[in-house]
Amino acid sequence: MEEVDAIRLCQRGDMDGLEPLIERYQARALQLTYLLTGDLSLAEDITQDSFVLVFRRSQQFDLARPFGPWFFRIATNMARERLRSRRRLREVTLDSDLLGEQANTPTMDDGAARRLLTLDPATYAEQAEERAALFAALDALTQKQREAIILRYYLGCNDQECAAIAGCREGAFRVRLHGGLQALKQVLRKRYPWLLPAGLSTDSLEAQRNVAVE
Amino acid sequence: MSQSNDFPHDPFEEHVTDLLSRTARVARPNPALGQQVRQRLTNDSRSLSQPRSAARFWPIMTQFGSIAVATLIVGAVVAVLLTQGGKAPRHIVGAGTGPVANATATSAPMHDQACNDPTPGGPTHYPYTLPPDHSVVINKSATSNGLRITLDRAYADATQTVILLHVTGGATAAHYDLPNMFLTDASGKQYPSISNGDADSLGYRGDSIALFPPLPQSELGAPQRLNFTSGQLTQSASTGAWPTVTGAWSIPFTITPVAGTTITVTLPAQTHDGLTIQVESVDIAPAGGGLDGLNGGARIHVRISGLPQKMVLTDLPEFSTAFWEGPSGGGWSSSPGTMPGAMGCPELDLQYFPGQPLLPGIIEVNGDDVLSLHTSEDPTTWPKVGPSGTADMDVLFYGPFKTGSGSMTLTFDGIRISTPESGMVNGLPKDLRVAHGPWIFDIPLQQP
Repeated sequence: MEEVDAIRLCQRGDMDGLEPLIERYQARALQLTYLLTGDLSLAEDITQDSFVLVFRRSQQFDLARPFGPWFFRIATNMARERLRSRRRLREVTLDSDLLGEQANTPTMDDGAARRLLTLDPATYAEQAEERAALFAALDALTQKQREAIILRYYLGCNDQECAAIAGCREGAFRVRLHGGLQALKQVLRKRYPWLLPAGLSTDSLEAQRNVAVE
Repeated sequence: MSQSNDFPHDPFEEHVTDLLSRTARVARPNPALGQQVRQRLTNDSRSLSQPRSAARFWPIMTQFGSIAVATLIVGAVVAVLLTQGGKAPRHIVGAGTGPVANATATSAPMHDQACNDPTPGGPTHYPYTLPPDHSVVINKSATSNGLRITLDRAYADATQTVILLHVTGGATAAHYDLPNMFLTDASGKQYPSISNGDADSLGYRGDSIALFPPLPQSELGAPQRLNFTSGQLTQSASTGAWPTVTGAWSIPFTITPVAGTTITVTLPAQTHDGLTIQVESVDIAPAGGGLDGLNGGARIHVRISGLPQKMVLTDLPEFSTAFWEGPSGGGWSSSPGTMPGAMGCPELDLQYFPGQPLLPGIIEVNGDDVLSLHTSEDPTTWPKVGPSGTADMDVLFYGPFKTGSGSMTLTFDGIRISTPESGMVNGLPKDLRVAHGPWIFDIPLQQP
């Protein structure tokens, strides 16, 4: 079913229109919100809520415009608001053991759970450590900078699309991205240099970048 | 989505791309999601959060003391009995199961729990009146296109304005969403809802709470005439569709915002790197709060001068959102001082509770909630710094602050400034920079 037909069905109140949209966008929405929040359970909530909202608000969607940015804007806004509410309420995420959290999560199919549980402990520890370090580094950015980096480098959007999703102008998006990259670079270098490959953990990176810009 | 092609890629950017991709792979699609979404829509479940979210509640309450919770609950039960006189609660479709009642009783209804009710089926009844709140009865309504919006209760102080409301009429009136509601005060200033719209995405059902930015200091402690306005209402129908009804719901009401304590700050202004910051006043909202059970809060009013003209105001409050979680999950903090402003992520935090620097919950610039400043798609209309180079910033922190003694320490370690209109180089404002502080203010919590 074409995307536009699926949305038309949603606009008529037919839930059959949701399936193609979920099939096409679920993975990226879940991963996007996971990167934005660093919390898998919260990301699952937000992804489900985003599709509920898509259906409820489908009549407000302009069929002449692309669905992706509209949908990802909903998911991004929802992640932003949830994080804001969390901070406002001083909500604390428990330091949960990643393995335990994932083994219990309903999104884990049996095969995936088995693969994770049978993973070589050293490999598992290494991957978990890398994820923890990346999230800690992303936490050091402003939420807008974090969004900019994830929209650009995870979703792969161009400036115009990123700005549309982030709800800002293109210039503002570039500022956020630039600041975010600089901050992330310094955090990684200072705190997690082992996360950077050889050659990227020194200031020679700046020289490489300047050459690339020129 | 098209691939980006207008930003130079360097090895670091490519490495970040790989890191994000590897990390994201942990989140795997849920094959049952379609069915779950259908179930949600079919059951008209109001909830937008899942039960496991409720688990995050307890660490907070542990942090703030279980005795206080017990007091709240006991007080709340008494309050409900006293205020409702034993009247049977209004029935909400789909509510009333054991777990629902239990969740309501154990989670003194803070705003998040109220709006993102973690229990399927929604609250049994009026969970928002549980805390010993200072809210007042409004009981005013407006009808448009057969749908009636009623404002039940309201509360306002220096850190929030909240309204309890419900909708009746129409097909089932079990579910509704008010995406564009706002308040207008006597001066004509509008306060868009924070907890609704795309950002929050709640499909309200039955009695609901709407959160708005706080009224200005000048309007605290005296009766204020406010007007609630909504131009759209999305309602569930028997077909399962969510038609949007356009209408004109306008409800004037009067409320007296709780004054709390306002402290005039006489500390001298501080200038670093060409920017001057002066703390002018602090409004302390009382603990106990209203409707959403907040423990009080503080609104700190600062004036920043020396800003470049035409700087977009929403670019001003760009501060780190980093926070550290203690090894037990019970601690929280901003990043521990290793993030210098030179990195483009300056910090703004408040030291009051020992070992727990607070990050701002809401930042307003020139009297507007930052998230609602951009109401237009046209960048030329966005609010900017004027010829004076000055902007007023209200920074809101939430917590049970006490006045009369002691102090709180507000720290800005840097301010990001830029004026995109000054020209762009490599896609960035020519004058993008961080003004380095730190500006540190030890603010006494008693009148000078």
